[in-house]
Amino acid sequence: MIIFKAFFKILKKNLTGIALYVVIYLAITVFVSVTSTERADEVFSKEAMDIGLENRDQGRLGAALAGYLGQSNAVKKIPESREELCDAMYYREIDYVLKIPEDFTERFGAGEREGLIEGTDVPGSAASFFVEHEVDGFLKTVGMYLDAGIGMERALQLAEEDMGVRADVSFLSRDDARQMPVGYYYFQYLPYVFISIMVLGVGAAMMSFQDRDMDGRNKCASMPFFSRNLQIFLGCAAFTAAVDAVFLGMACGSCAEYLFSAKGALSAVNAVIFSICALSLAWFLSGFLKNQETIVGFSNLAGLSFSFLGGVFVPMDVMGETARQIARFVPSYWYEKANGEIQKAGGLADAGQIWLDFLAVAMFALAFFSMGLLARRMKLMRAQ
Amino acid sequence: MFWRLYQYSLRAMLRKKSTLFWSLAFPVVLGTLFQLTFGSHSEEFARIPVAYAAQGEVETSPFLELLDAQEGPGGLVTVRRAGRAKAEKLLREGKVEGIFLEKENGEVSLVVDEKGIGQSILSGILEQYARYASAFARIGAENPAGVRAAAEGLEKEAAYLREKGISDRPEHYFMDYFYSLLAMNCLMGMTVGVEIAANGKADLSDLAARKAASGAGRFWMILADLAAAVTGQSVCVAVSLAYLSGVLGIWLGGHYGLILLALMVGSALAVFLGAFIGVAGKWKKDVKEGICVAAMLASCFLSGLMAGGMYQVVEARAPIVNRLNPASLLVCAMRSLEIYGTYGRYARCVAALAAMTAVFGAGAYLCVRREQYDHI
Repeated sequence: MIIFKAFFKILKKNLTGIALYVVIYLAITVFVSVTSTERADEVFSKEAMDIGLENRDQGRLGAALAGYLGQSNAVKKIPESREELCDAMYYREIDYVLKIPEDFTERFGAGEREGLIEGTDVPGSAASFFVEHEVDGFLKTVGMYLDAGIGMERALQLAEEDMGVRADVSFLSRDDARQMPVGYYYFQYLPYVFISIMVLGVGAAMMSFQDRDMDGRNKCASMPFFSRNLQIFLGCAAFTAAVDAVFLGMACGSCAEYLFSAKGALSAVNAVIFSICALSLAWFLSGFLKNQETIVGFSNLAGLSFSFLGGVFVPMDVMGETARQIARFVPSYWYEKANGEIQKAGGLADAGQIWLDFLAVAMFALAFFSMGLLARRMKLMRAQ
Repeated sequence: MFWRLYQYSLRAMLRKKSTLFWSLAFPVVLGTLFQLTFGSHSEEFARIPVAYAAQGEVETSPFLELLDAQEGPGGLVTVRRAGRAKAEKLLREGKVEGIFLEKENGEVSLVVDEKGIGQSILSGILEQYARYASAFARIGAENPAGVRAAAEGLEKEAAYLREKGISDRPEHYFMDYFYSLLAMNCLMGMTVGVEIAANGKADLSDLAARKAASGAGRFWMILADLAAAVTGQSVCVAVSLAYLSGVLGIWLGGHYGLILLALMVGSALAVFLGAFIGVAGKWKKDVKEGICVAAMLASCFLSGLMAGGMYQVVEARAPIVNRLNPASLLVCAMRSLEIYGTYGRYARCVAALAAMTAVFGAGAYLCVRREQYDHI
């Protein structure tokens, strides 16, 4: 098993790079778990906006409006400097800024309705529609009472009671109300790290074996051709199994309950199939590797490209229609599709579509493997 | 002497096609993919598809009239009338975002399959309907004569908000991906810096041993190599910037001269940092290149290349990292030009990059200064 051992000796040299991807992967999952702290609700609640509010109104109407908005939204103080405000709106920490003027109650009571409040939004953002809807709803209700001849104090009291009326909203099924489990996020980012690690590890080993002098030396050795290739194959398989074991082992630590459920089992199968696909891709790309620089380049380029295009880093619904159509031609799209469908499946019996997604990833693995064979064949023919 | 060495270094760089290829291929391929992914993204409001299902024979109702009005110009929804089973099928298939169910007694409820902006707006429409109904009932009880005036007031269109944008253009944090990509392009110069260091250390390469035996001063030789590397890297980054803005049409804030300046300083930092790593320590060149790649990836990860919004998360928890991380400083410099309309933060970021370049340059020089070899 001299080739098999040599395979792992070469891998050992790239262990630092591989470990770095594991660290980046863990950092991404921690980052996502920190930012996805949304509470899972059994009962429907409206999407809360982050509204920066400044109420200078001396009367009651401004305070009532601020109180109403605060019931279903997060009302925040407007940052003092323009740079801080720009930062907050750029990163959507504040979706909308409202400034209620000093004489708001007075002017509204006098029948003035147009352009009373100053609103600042991020151009092109959907948040402004939502805030407008809320402000319009409240002020129109107060306006109705005032138009009907009811005084401001009573109008506000009645409007506040009206605002207490809630819509009867229910979920189609109880499962819809649940938040995505931690396991979903854990498995979401695996394609990036699998592709990067496989290209870095397998690519480096294959590049050494494909080196002209090394290849020539191996060919004239007494070891049969079949045995040599079998050992390389076993090396690749053992490396893939080790990567799977490491990541499924880490899943045991971070989401053991999920992993040992039917959904977790499907996610694990999804990950294992994708790792084989990543291995095939790495094998295909290794035909083009010339030095350490190209390994790093291919590993970054393949990892990032497949991840962005396949919806690993950015949700599919954020992507344009053209991008979604093109995404069907990368395996990470089918992996992510399966990952989403696994969460909706009640159990293995409901996994009909998921098997098809697995099959699509497996077909990509086969395609990459065939392309690798073709590329090597063509290279050999050119050399002859 | 310096100019001749500089010319030769530039020529040698141009012959390393692999380095040039990756410096150019990275931003071109990833920039195109980013544009493909985010280019057609828009948060602009699109009408929400919703199904309406009535229990029993409901031909018309006040709520249906409200929905008809919401389907008109400036409305929020597109309505599909269907039986309950069909409506639920549409909801499951994602063809509608909710179902309005109207009972025979006029009560209306909403069924959704997830929580989001669209569902919240549908809930808001239903809630508003219920609130206006409640308001009319109260007005009827308190002052029946005012019902007509209230109805007229309700029908009047009023724009309570006087709106303005925080800037003239749609902004979103997706731009950080493009900025991080350009930052990564700059930081790729680190491996060039290691190469230069290896070519200057007689115990690391044959070329360096030959150079050590020559009559030219070591300081000028290394300085010429570094200057050529910074020039080459800056040209690659300028081509990337031109591709992103000129070919892909990505709006990067308009201040292209200043962006290029920041990228050139970033390239210089990368080359000098690489050179510092190359001359410091006794590790092999491969190990030093590995350190550079690890540093580049970690730096770009923290600036948001792999996870959008990472810059802000780091800013909230460990702001010092953003003040020292080269990729974050580059992202901050470019973004500040786009969104603030002022130059203060940009100047601070570029100054920090320049200061770090000077520190690493001085560090690299101190490491190789008066270095002598007993034997190689």
